[in-house]
Amino acid sequence: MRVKRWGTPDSLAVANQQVLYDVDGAGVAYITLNRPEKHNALSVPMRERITELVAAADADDDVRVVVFRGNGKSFCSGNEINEEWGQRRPHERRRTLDVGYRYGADMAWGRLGFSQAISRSDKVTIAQLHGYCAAAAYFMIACKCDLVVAARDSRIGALEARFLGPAGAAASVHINRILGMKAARRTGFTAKPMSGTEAYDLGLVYRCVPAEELAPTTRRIAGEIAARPAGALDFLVARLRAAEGLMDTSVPAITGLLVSHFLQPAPEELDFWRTARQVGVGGALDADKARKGAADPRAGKEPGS
Amino acid sequence: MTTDDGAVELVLDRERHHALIRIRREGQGNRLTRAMARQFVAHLDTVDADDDIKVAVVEGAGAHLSSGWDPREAWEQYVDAPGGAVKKHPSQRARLIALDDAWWGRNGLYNRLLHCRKVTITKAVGECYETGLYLTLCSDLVVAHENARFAVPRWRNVGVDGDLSLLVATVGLKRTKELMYAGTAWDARTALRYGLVDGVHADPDEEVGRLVEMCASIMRDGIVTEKYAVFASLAKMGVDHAFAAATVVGASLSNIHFQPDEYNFLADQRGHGTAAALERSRRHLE
Amino acid sequence: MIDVKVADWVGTVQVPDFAALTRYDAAFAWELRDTVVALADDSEVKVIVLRADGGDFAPDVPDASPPADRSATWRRVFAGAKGLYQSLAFCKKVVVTEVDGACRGAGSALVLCSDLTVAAETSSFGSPFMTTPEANFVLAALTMRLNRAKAWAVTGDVLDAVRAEEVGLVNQVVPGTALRAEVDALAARVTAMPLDGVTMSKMLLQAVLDAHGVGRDFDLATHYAARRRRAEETEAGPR
Repeated sequence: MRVKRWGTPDSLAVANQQVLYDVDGAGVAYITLNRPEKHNALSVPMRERITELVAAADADDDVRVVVFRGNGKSFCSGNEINEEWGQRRPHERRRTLDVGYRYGADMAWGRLGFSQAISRSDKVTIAQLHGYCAAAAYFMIACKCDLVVAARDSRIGALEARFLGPAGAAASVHINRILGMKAARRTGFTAKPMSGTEAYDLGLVYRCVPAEELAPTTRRIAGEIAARPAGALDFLVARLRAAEGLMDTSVPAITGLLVSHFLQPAPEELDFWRTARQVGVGGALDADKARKGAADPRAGKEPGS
Repeated sequence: MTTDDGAVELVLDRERHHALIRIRREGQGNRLTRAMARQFVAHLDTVDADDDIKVAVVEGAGAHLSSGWDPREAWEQYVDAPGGAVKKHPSQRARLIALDDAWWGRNGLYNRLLHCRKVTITKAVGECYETGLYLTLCSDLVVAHENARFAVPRWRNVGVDGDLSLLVATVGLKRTKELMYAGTAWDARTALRYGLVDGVHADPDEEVGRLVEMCASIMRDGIVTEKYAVFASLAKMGVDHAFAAATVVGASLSNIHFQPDEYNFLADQRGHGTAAALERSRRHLE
Repeated sequence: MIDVKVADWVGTVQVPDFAALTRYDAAFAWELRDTVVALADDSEVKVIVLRADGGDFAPDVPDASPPADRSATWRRVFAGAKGLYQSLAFCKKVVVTEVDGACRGAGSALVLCSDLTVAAETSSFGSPFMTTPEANFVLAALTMRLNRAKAWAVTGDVLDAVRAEEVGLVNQVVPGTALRAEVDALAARVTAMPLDGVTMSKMLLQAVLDAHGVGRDFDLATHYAARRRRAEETEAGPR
């Protein structure tokens, strides 16, 4: 029996071009998100492809380090939120819990999901951040990598938290251990992004550099790690993975499942999903911005400018 | 209840979706009594039950958030707890029950604040000692005044009898031990650098107002869902276990034996009064 | 080689340096372990200071060889529950490390196991995880936060004193000339706590550390050492 591949014919057809893979001669594999027109928002097939590429890197003895990076203005804006990927059959008036499990766990943070494929990789993993690193890109990629190299003006965080409802994952154990308990909570309850510099001060980011130095700096760091003796590096990665298991940092909070599907806004609260379906994500952000107390995650200096 | 006995006020603003919980015992540095802790918990119950309240702000009236718990109750709380006494010595179960009921247990102040279903914001001003520090640790967001100071001076008198899991997960292990053993008080800037507070402001009210507005614009479903995610991770990080351990160690420490040259706070308090004993035992923080 | 003094509630342990631990000198390690255990059990002691007087706390040992994981001596002296590192991490008294100069390999494992660390401005800290598989990574993650500890282990970076303070690995950075006096002053401050208070606070700490995975990470040292040994064989053998 064959495993079903979820997605539309279109999104399935382009996934291989939207997530690129190459290995340099120095033992570094690059997984490059390549959907710049959508700030590299991750479709379901893109997430599946990430899982497959991490497995490919893990199986390749010549690869020592895996770098995640994005083409265009941003690293990644998170999961695609306005996507039809086959989640509703004709007779179903709304999404089933069965689909909720598939989407929330299997396609995201669960044992079979792409974020855990990253956190359990046998290789050293590095996230190279610029522009937005938002929502799932923040807690399912950046926070799952061993090292993060960031441009100073990156905008990192659960930026969707305030208008979509906090995603639950921002409360997870690994983020508490990376940022400290207060900052983890802060990213869950305010939409305020961290700059690369702030994320460095908190301990998420290993090196923070001007945007133009980001790629060469990451390449140099990845190269230096890859040049360490292979056996030694294998040992260190195994050592870290074991200790992370002991600290129970692997699985984010289960409530993410609820958030994705069933939150109900009160009459005076913004229905972000419905608004986004009507006027697009940008329009929904504008509608949110107009509300009292709202903080526009896009306000201020444009990343990369 | 007289002013000296203190009170904890609750002000609800349903229009703006927020509640204010204010500690009022200015003459005593807002030191909390058990009665005030119970009042505080009752207010949290009200906040949790009111669907129009999304955010609760915790503050102290006057110059300090809270400079500790009331040391006059240090022994009395065990005497009053159910469990009996032998020759005026409260039973060990009475000591455990007293600490559990007022502070660390399911309905104790710290556990209850930590498990509030709404966003909690603490305004840290002046002395945030002992109880003041734990209110800081148990709330979601903390806005500190430039003059805020964080310490647990009582630990130097009797040893460490409070939760350590929140401290370790917030500021790290070696800094936790510095607070435990070195008799240190952290100023607001240090607290910010260590990750104990979210910001330091000359006018914290303005920043609190901004955060209240921001959090009040989150949908109710989102807030409560996120809080249950927080509760799940607190459990995974061993916070319940650490609270129980703090209760057991706290009760054990009430049996402390002092060496000849060691300072005995309760004896000092009996001999010279609470104010003098507090002054003497906190002098090293200045 | 190990000089011990007890005065005013402080037990001071002085050695030339701690590099012998990186070399897996079992006789030195066991003597140090016995010293720590004896001081911890001494009711005249509240604080134990670990001090090196040779300029470097624990200089690098380039030819250090990883331990044989099947060695009963290694398990007893270094890795086991009664071995040196756990005797320090779960010590009944407050342990202060005084770090001058280079702190590498097992020296950093000692720093992680100690409660408080004062460092000279010129000191620097290398990760212990490659040379010392029984070093406790969970302690590092709880001390420095997870990603910093991972980066320290994987990159081989050496942290200078200022950075070590920024990330929480050391409590205080002082001029080298003031180091000893500052450590003595810190130790004296700790002794203000009653003896019973010190020991009960360490009991509380033991419960919390264990719940956070520190004990379990120590318990897996044999597996880590086996894996480290295999890495050594990989490097030595044909690629």
